[in-house]
Order: sequence, then C-alpha cells, then structure tokens
Amino acid sequence: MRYIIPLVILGILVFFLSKGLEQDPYRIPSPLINKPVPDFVAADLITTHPPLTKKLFLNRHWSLLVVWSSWCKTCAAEQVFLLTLKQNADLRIYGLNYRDDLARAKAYLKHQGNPFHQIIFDPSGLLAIDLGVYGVPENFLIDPQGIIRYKYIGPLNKAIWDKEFIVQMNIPLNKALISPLDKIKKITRKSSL
Amino acid sequence: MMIITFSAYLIKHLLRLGWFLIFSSCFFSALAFSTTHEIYSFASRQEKIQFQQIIQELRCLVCQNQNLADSNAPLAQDLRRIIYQRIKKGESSSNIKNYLVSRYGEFILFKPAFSRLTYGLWLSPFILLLAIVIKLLVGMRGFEPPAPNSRS
Repeated sequence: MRYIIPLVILGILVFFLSKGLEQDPYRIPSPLINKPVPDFVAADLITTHPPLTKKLFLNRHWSLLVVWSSWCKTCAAEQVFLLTLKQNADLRIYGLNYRDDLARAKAYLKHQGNPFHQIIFDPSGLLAIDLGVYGVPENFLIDPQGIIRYKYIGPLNKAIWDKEFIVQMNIPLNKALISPLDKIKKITRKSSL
Repeated sequence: MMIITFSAYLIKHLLRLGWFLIFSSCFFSALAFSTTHEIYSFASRQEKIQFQQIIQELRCLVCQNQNLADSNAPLAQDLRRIIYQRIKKGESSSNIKNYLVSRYGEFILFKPAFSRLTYGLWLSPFILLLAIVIKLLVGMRGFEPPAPNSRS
C-alpha cells in the first residue's frame, strides 16, 4: 500500500507527459473545421479584374486552398506535388499568396510553375488571420458548399494527401454528386452541426 | 596644491560617474528593453490601456511562449494591427478576444476560459490541495495528545 499510491501518481504523470511529447505544439487543431469559409473581398494576384470573394469556393468542386509565399522555402517543394495533383485529382486548387511582393510572387510562379486555378493576393496578411493562418504553407480542404473540412499545416505530399485528404473527400463527395442540389444542402446542414 | 589635487580627484570621479551613467543608460535604458513596435496613436488613454491589456494576454503563435506585446514576429505585428483596428472601431476587449479564439482556438489565450475542456486544468490545484488536507487529517487521527495529568 505504501508504494502503490506514489506509483499510481507516477503512472498518471508519465501518461500525460508522454502524451505531451507526441503532440506538436505547432499543429494546433483549427477551430474553423466544419465551418464555412469566412467572407472576404481580396485582389487577384494575376489579373486586376473583379475582386475575389467567398463565391470562389461555392462551385461544384472540392477546393484546396494553399497558403504560400515566394519567400517560403518549403512551399517550393510542395509546389511540385501540387502540379501533379492538378492533373490527377478532381478538384480545384486555389492559392492564397501571403505577405508577399507582387512582382516576386509572379516571378516565382513563372519559375516553379502554377498549379493554381486562381490566386488570392494578401500582401498585408490580414485575410490569412481571418483563416487562422500562422505560417506557410498551410492547406485547407473546402467542400463544394464552401465549408472547411480539413486543414494541414506544412508542405503537402502524396502520402499525406492519400492518407488524410482523400478520406475526407470520399464520404460527402459521392453523396453530393448523386443527389440533387437541395438534398446536398440538407446533408451539409446536418454534418456541420 | 591642495586645490589642484582635490580638483583632479573630483574630475576623476566625475569622469567615472559619467562612464557609469553612459554604460548604464546603454544597458538599462528603455531602448534596450523595448521591442521595435509600430507606433499606434489612440484617441483616448482608455483605448491605449485596452490595447496594452489585450496584447499582453494573447499568445504569439509563432513564438509560442511570448505574448503579442513582446513579440516582433510578422504574425504578431499583423495581429496587433487587427486588434488596433478593432479597438478603433469601438469593439470591446472580450469581442476582440472571441474573434481571435474563433480563428486560432483557445490556445491563443494565455489565460484560457473555464470550460468543459479546461476545467481539469483550472481545478487541479484545488483537487491537489484537498487531497493533501485529507491525507493530513487521516494522518492526524492516529495521533493522540498526551493526557494532561499523566506522567510518562
């Protein structure tokens, strides 16, 4: 009995400490998961035409929103994967250019290739705060109704895509393709609760 | 002669004092401790205090053990700017904090709110105190004070 109580306390301590070791403090779960993309009005990086809004994500596609910068080294590695993803996967890839210089961002795309359907230009970084971004690259998976389903912090690669993103897309996407539009709304309303 | 030696002594010590002041002003001045903050102007003292309070209570997410007031990371600068803009619009502190929690999660608060997720964190010191008190009380039961008239 004398030894059991300290042992139990030690066990509890070790349990919590080892749990803490496994967690990466920089991978904080986003409170925006299963919430709609916040409203925004932002400039387009490529054209000077009408500003981009949330409507970008309200199409019949799943969207991947990638937060990137020309000054971000790991973004370049991710870019290679995004280019292959663009050809293979049935989704639209959008970029959010974060705290960058217009000319440098364009030069970067010329050099690295452009996997993005459209790019939101956010030189001040204020729109990114609305999305809870705190570094580059960050990747948001957005469903056809404009609801954020998954977020991955750090550069994407094939392994992570297959493991985390495809699973997310499979379940509601099939339903969304088969059922008529009003039914889709019902499903998302249920799943967002 | 006396006057000369005295004045030399005085000058020497004044010089020493001067050096001391120069050095100390370098190392202990407000400049040495200040982070290079952007300069924000406020309409009232109250707004300024509100701003200072908020940035002290929020975590810089890139440099996680610093608050927004101490950090000079780009994200911390942006967050300060957003807080400033919202104060200018007349928003309350709790409103601003709620907004940032809705974007970054409870983690941004250095003092997390008492909720379903955090009650263990907040109550653990009191539970520990209670456990110690119970342990002490149980231990005291076995202890009997000596009877006043008995000789041992």
